[in-house]
Amino acid sequence: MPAVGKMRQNQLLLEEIGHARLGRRGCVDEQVATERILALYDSLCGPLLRYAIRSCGSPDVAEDIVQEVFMRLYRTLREGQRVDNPRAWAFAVVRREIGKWATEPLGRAAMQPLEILDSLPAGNSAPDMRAIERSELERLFGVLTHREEEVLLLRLGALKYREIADQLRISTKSVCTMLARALRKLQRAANAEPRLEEQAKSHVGSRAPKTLQ
Amino acid sequence: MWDLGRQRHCSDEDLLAHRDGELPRWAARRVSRHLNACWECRSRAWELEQQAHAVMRAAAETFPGPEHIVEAKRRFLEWKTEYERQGANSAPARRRAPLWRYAAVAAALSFVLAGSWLFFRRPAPEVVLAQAAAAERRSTGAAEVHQVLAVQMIQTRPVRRESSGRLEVWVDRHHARYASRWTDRQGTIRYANWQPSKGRAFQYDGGARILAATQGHASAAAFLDLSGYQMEDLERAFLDWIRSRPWQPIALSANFSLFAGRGGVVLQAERYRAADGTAMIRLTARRALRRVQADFVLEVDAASYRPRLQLVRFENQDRTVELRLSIEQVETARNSIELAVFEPMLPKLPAPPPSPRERQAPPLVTAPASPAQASADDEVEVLYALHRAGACRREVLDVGRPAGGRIRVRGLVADDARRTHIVAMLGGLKAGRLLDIDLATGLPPQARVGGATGLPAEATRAADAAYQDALALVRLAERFPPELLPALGAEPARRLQSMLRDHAAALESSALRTRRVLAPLLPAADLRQPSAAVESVDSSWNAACYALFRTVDRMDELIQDLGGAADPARTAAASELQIMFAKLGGGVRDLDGLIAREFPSNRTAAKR
Repeated sequence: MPAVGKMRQNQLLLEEIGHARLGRRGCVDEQVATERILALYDSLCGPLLRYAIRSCGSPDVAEDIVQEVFMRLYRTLREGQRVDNPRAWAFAVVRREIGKWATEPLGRAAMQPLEILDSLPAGNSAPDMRAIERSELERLFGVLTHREEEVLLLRLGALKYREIADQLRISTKSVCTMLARALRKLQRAANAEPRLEEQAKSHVGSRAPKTLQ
Repeated sequence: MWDLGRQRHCSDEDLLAHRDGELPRWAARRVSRHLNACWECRSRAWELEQQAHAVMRAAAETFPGPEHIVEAKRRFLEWKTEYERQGANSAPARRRAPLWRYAAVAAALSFVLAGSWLFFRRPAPEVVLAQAAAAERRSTGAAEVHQVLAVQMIQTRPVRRESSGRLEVWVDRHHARYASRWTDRQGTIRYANWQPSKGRAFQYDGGARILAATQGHASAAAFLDLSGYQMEDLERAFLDWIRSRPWQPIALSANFSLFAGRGGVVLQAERYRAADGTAMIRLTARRALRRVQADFVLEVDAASYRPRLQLVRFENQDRTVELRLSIEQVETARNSIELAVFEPMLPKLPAPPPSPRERQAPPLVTAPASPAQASADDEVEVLYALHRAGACRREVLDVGRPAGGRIRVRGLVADDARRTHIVAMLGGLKAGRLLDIDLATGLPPQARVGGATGLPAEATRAADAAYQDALALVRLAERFPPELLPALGAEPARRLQSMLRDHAAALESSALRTRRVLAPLLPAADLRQPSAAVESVDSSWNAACYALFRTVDRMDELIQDLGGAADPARTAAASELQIMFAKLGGGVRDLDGLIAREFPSNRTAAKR
């Protein structure tokens, strides 16, 4: 394969998988399908998981849903059905599965703000994930509306504006507006934090001794 | 974008979309040009870019780690192994279409095949014909039937000629009533017949008078064998068919069966779709003779098997003529037929536009001034006036008293002048205010159509006159039955008596004139010897009138035979005609005697 960038490689791989049908009569060979699904794990697993966790609030459920997406994609390829855009297809399946899960009583109970995760007993799976939600993304996305966050997560998954608009059933123009607004909000939030820290430091530096006194 | 003085800056959305490659080409070029020149927008674009990098970096740093993806892959491979193991044992990897899809395709295919077979298969002609006959029996089997058929006679070669008309048939089976009427495109009656009650039948064949008729029993053979292949031959054959057919509703399938039952006929049936989209079956019976080919076609509705069209086509080397009979309407509702259609009188014909002279004349229909009821005396007065005007012989007028108590005068006269004359005369009567007059013009000038051939015209004219008088006597006898006679006043009775005597005398005179003209053809007989009454009529003057009419009718037939038949038949006709003349003379004398005996005025005079 000629020397191309990683993104380009992924793109070619995706296109190849999307049209991976053995003519009109057959299905994708087991080995080929396996290789391609494993390659998709590298490029899609992170964005899908991020999106699923932010949408359902439960890392375990999100993990199961994302695993189910890859299994379904494998089955689909093996059955010889056509998947033109696996990335958009995968996000659509995640959204649908989360929608189904949210209608169940257990799902509704689990749809809690991420802040309460700390109060829950720690399970035996993925102790690092709990740190994730509390960390950078949580801090960044706190200033965004739900819709803006959703658009931003889908864009982080490398979906095009048209694909995001189709998933959320809004216009392309709205997608663009929400993205720009979200980035501006995040920028303002990032700029505000250092000033607050400086103010706090100056405040502590000037008053604390007095207070302590 | 927005304007800042003369400079247009880019919005955040445009900058972001430009960086993401989501702008249309023309917009992307514009933004690029602007960014080349505008530091402010370039810095804002850079800020957005930086922010996107920050978000991406935060996302990538946080979750999921490489070990998590490895774990996910491991779980996937485990699942896949299990999936492939189950799938290899159970079914091939190829995806199968659901069973219902196979079933649906099979059902659709069989439906299409069955439909094609049903539509394109050639129906058996005999079966279709039997179905058509049954359907026709069902549709015309009601007690009251009114049929309307369009009649078309077309010559397609060598020159196209066409005549069209309408044939209507009314049948009332309960009361043994029947009427039929064939009119041409202008509405002129070509032939009509009536049977108002059992045993009384009349016909009109386009001439000046209504004739007695007998119900036909012949089949449709009349127009299946043409003597020539001109339009006139076709019309004549059609007229013969109407005249000779049984007095029943028209059955197209029966005609077809008759033709198809002949030797040498090839039957064929085919399906086709009519112009209006209806599925039809066409039955064709073809008979090829030495010089002519005859086709009889019956078109039947494929769903109900009701015949719609009958076509008879004759084609020889020079000419093609065809007759089309298509059913336009069949009505079978009870009490839907007016009784008037069965009465032996001509219906109203389209009247010409009124002339200026007629516009000044008094209205033809006088409005009732009072709800007075017309009596039999008034009717006699009207009849007597018409008798004086000669309208009871030449014109075909009908005088009656339908419901409502008024006297209705309907009929056909020669022209407008004659109509005006009759209207003016009737308007001056005492019963004039009780009259409804409806007279149409267009009575043909000739006295009779198709007189006896080979006989002196004087004989035909005299025989016609005798017939007219006999018919007038019958109509009077019908209108004034014996039970009505005592109700008449003295003057009306006298007038009625006068009319009867006039007609009887005229009848005798016409018969004598006929006998004199035909004397060279008759066996030797003494003309001066008074005739003897052969038929004994002693019941009433009404019965005598009927007997006279029967004698004159028979006499008429014999005169026809005398003119056209072969020698032996002519001799027999001449002998019988001689007897009929004698019978006629006796009948007139009997009638005279009965009138003198039965009329009230005479009885009163006799008592005195």
